[in-house]
Amino acid sequence: MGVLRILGPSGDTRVDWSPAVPGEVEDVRRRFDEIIREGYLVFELDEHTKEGRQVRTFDPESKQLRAFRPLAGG
Amino acid sequence: MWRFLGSLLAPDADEQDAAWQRAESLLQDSLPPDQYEAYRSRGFVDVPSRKFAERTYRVDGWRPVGVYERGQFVGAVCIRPRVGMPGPDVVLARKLMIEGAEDEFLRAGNWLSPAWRPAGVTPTIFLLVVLISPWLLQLRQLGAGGLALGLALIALPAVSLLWRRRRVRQGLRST
Repeated sequence: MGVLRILGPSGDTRVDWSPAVPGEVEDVRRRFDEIIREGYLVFELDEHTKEGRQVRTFDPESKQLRAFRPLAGG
Repeated sequence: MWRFLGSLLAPDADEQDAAWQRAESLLQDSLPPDQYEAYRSRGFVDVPSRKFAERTYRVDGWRPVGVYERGQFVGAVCIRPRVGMPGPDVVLARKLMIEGAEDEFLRAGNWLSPAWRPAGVTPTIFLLVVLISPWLLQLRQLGAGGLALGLALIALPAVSLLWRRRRVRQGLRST
């Protein structure tokens, strides 16, 4: 199972998928491409260290993805 | 009654609480246990730089991100979400940007250099110079060379401080 969690003003929106279910994979791929087009940054967490690595294309085998709009200078 | 008054003062407080709790839970899922424990007890997480060997970023959800080199505070990066997000989500976003897109983090954030921030032994040296400057000025009795030496010794702390600040600024900017 993979999960994409999109951060927002009222907490995150969660999108789960199973790589074995093509319909779910297509749905989350569509959503992933959409947020990338909107300028979101997406990071995959390392399974062990939980360190983030930026990703720009969707891999159905990913386990933990986090997405948010780019931060800006304050 | 308290609930009623609370709903008048902050109509969306329940919603905000729920968002905060979701964000807290997400942060817990997204950090290693020791880092999350550190966040719970101290309110911030330390994120080592991947670009600069001795640099660490101190991340919390409300203040600018502190930049430390060899354990010493050298400046801060002011960077925040464009739309409001619960504090734990801000922590997570900043941490992920540092780990996975440090260049972009540094480019997007505004640098805050420490203004007059006494650090290390500098204040002590200044105090010593002020105290011994009358004796240093007596070096003028040794002639022009003595006077120059006295003035140089008096100016030394200021020069060393300026040199150090310049070096820190260069180090912060080099990416």
